[in-house]
Amino acid sequence: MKNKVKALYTRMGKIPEIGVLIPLALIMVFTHLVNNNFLTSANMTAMLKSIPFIGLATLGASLCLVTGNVDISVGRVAGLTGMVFGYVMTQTNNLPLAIILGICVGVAIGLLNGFLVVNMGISSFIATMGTLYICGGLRYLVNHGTAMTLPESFRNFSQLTPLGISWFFWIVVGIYIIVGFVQRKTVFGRRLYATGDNIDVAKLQGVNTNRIRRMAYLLSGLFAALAGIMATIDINSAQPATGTAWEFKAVAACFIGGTSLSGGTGRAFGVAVGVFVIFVINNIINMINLSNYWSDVFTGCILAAAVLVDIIRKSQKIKE
Amino acid sequence: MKQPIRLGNRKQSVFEMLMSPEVSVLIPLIILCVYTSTVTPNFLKIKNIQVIIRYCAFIGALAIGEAFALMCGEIDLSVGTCSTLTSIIFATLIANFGVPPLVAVLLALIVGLIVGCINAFLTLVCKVNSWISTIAMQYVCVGLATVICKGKSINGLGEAITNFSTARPLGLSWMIFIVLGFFILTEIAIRFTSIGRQVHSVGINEKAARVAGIHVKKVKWLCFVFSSFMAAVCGILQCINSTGANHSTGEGNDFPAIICCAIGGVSTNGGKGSLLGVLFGVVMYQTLKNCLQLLGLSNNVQLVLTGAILLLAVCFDVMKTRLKQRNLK
Repeated sequence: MKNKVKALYTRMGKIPEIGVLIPLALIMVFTHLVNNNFLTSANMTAMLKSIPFIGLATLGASLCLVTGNVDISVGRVAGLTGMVFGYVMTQTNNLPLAIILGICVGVAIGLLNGFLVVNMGISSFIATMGTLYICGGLRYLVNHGTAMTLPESFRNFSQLTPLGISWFFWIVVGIYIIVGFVQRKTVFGRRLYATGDNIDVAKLQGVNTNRIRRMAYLLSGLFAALAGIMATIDINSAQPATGTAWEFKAVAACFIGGTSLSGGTGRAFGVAVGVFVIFVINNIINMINLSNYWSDVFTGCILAAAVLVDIIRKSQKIKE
Repeated sequence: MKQPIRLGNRKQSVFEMLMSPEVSVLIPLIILCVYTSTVTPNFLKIKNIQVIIRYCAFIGALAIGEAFALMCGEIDLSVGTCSTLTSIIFATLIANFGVPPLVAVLLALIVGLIVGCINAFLTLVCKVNSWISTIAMQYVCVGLATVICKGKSINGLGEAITNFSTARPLGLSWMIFIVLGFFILTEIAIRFTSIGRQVHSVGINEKAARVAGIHVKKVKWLCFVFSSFMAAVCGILQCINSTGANHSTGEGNDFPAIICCAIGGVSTNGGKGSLLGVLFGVVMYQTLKNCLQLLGLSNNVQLVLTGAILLLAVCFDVMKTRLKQRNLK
């Protein structure tokens, strides 16, 4: 029995995200003691309903990070595709066409990012900052930057609550599971990590690293586009401001989940944990009735603390 | 025998001059200026040029600091918000506590240094990636700034500040001269002192720098602290310029500072760049902004064009480097 407990303990210690999950659980329990509305199903479902959009965009950004590049354009790409989707939808009322065009925009920007970073050799931060500016402006030029209301039928879809949460949540969970599977079990997934870990070695092993890195950007654009479309359907209105300030949240969530900027590490589950942490922090700040002014200070401190805890744990592991 | 070689050398040197990063920024800048001046004659009026130069001071101060952070191979995403915090503190000290301006300047600069020290501590001692440590600092700075000013703008800084901000030596302002002074000092430091060489060599290859006997951490500490120090300078200048401060003073200035560095040839991977290039980058950025405004474009078209021109400038730089390498072969 004792051995079993010990084995369980060591196995838990091997989960890379445990360094973030345990403090998170403690903070959640503490918050519940302060305000016992926190761990109620109403609050939790409300929070989980708002997660999937940034969550999906972050997953795309994490794929780029795994290959050793950053993509800070995801938020604005989501905003732009949401607007394109809304515009096509209100003009033609043709759902498949609107979705396809929205996705095309996202993929096109992913391709552009990939071309700039991989073929031109521009630093990924600068290249995606350029597309961030371009998309940030373009989303306000679609329909002159005014919000568009979608047909009523979408509202019925977004108000469905299978298993207590919205469809979008389950779709994104599905995508996370697929990406997690691809990362772990497929050749493409292994090549992503090989490219990020050591690009020269990967090349010597016969991996087409340029193609892999371009692919990561393409997927990032695709996921951002899906996130934008889903966010638009969710609020039943295409808002140009969608996606503002997602970029730092996305990168922060990736870091909290154990993805490193130098590439080669990080998995879908970790990213999910990171996104969850970011939203829990926001929710906690609302819950403990912190004055609005203090919320940013608090967010920053927790962000740093969350990453610190993880780093301390890893350095201890290296010592062992 | 010797003459052709000399000729060759001269050709080489002209070629090298054309290939230096500063010149490659200048060419698109001139094209842009010529175009705008033909469309809107107001562009080349002395008054407009003075306006452009005056506004270079703020983004310039930020870009100097950011350039140091980038050159040593790190990134500082907190410069914009750090300037917000310092401008709020500066304004509060003068308006609410009646501190004499010079003391307030000193205290605000100290705040900047503290922010830089925390950034450096998190990044270098705790080994948090500089991205995440400075993003966290971004939140903290904005939060503290709003806490201090309670979300309201602070005015009433007294006559001395107003006089300083409305003074127009040579039709410019004192602030641009202060920032120019910083540019000259830092350019000298980067080009001619051992510290400058150390910053570059740390940025190029950290391990090699360590083996060569450079105290890598010390150099990086210096860069982080200097970056936030310059952010504090920017905050104070902005506060003086608008004779007041609010919590959105330096908002969204992180990316422009990095853009100026990138246009000016500072690599975000570290090890490359000069402050002269950054100065050109800043002038180009402000000129670009002014051009787009004079052309009567909406804010969003301006954003799109800024992004496109940034990418073009960087692509141009990359192609030039490739050409150079081919020529060397």
